[in-house]
Amino acid sequence: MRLSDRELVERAREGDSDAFGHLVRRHQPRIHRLAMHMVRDRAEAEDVAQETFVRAYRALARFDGRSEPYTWLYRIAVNLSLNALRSRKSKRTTTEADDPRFDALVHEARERRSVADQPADAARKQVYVALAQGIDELSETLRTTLVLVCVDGRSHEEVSAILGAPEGTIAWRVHEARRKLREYMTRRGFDPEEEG
Amino acid sequence: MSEEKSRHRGSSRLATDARRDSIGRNSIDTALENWPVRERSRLAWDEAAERTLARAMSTDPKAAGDSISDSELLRPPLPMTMRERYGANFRIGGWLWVGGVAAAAAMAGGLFVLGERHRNEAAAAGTRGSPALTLPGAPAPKARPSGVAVVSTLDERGVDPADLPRARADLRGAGPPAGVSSRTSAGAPMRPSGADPTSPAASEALAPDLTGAPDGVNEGLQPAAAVAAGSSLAGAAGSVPLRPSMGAVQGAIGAALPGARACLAPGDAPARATVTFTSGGTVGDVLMSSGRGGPAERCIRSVLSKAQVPPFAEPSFVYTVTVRPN
Repeated sequence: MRLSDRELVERAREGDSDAFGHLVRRHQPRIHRLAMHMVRDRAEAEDVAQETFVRAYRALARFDGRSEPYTWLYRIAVNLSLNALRSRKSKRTTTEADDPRFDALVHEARERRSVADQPADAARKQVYVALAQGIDELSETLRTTLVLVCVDGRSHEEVSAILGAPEGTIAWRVHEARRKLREYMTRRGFDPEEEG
Repeated sequence: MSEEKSRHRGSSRLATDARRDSIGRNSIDTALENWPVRERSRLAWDEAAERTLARAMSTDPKAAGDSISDSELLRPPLPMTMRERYGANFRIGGWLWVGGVAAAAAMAGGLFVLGERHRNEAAAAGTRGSPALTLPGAPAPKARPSGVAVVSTLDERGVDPADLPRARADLRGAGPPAGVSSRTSAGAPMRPSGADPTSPAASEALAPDLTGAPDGVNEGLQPAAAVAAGSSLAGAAGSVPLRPSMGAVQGAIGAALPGARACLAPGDAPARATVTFTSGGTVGDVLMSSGRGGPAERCIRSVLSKAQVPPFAEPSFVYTVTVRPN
C-alpha cells in the first residue's frame, strides 16, 4: 500500500524512521535535481539535497499540515540553495565540465558510439549551454521561478505555495524570465521560434 | 495545454501573455522541460537516502551549527516584492514618495528654523524687557514666569522697555496701582493680585494690562510704548536709504542715455557728464567735463536732468557717465 506524503510525515512525527526514509526516497531525486539547477555545483547540490532532508526531519514538529509535505521540502531546499549562493564570496565561474547541469549531455555523448550523431550532440549541447548561461543571467527571483516551473515542471499553484508569492506573480515572473531568455538566445544567434 | 491554462489563470493580461508566449515557447520551453538528467541507479539513490537518513538520525538538533535557522529555512523564500506588487508605477510612486518625504523634511526644517529664531528673539527681548516690569530699585526677578503676555506683547512690537524713560517716570510717581498687589511694589514681578505667574491663565490675565487703560501703570506705559513702537514702525515703513542703490542710479541714467546719445553727432567726441542727485532723488546739477557749453552739451544736460532715483538720506549723490555718439 502506497502511503501519501502526509501519512508518511504523520508516521515520522510519531517516531517511524522508516516512514521518513520512504519520504526521502520518494523526493530525493527531484530535490537533488532542483539543487543542481539552483547552485550549479555538483558537491554543493549533494549537500543541499542531503541537508534538506536532515533539516526537514529536525523540523517535523513544526510542520503544520496546512501545505503539502513536498511544498515544505521544496521551500527548505530553495532556502538552503539561495543561502549557499548568497554565502559564496564571489561570483564563481563554472566551466562546462564542472557544471552538473550538463552531466547527462556529456554522459550521453560518451555512450554514443556513432560518429553520425556527433554533430547533433554538439548542437544540442550548444543549445543547453546557451540556455544555462541565459538562465544564469536572470535575477535570483526569475531564475528560481523559471527553474521550478519550466525545468522542474511544477504548476504555478505549487510554486506559489513554495515561494510564498501569489500565482499571478509567479505567472508574471515566468513570462518575464521567458522573455529575457528568448532575447538572450536571439542575441546568441539561436532562433527561439525554431522547433527543437 | 490544460496545464498551461491552469498556470495562467487569474488575469486576462497574463492570459494574453500566455498566448503570446505560446508563439515562441516550443523550442525554449521544450528544451527546458526536457533538460537531460543523468540517471542514477535505484541502488545509488537508496545509498544516498541511507546516508541522508543516517545523518538525520545522528544529528543533534541543538549541537548543529547551522548557517540558517529553522525559522529562516521555513519562511517564504521569494515572496512578492514591492515592484511586483505595484508594477511599473512602483518607480514613479517611489520617486513621489521620496519627493514627498523631502518636501516634508524641508518644511519641518523651515518651521524649526523659524521657531528657533522666534524663540531666540523672544529670549533676547525677554531679558531686555524684564527690568521694565519691575519697579525702580527693585531687584530683578529670579525667574520670569514663562509666557507672560506683557513681555510677549512688547516683544511683538520690538520695543525695548529700557528705552521708555517716560514710562519709568510715570511709574515712579504712580505708586502701586489698583489691581497690583503690594508685593509688586516690594520688587516682585508685577502681576494682578491673586494671579499665579506660573499658570498659563496668569499670562492670559496679564495680557490686557498693557493694552487696556485700567490704571496709572498702563497709562504711563502705553504712550511711551506707542511712541516707541510708532517710531519703530515709522522707521521701518518710511526709512530712506543712506544713498541710492547703484541699480536705481544706473537704471535712471540708462533710461536717459539714448536721448543723451542722440544729442551727439556721429563724429563727435564722447562727452563726460557728472550728474548730481539731490536727496529728493531728482537731478540737482549736470556738469559736463569739457565745459564748452555748446548745443550738444546743453542737450545732454537737459536730457540727463530728467533722471530720477528714489529719495535717499545723504544730501547729494554724484554719478559720472560717458555719453558716446550713436
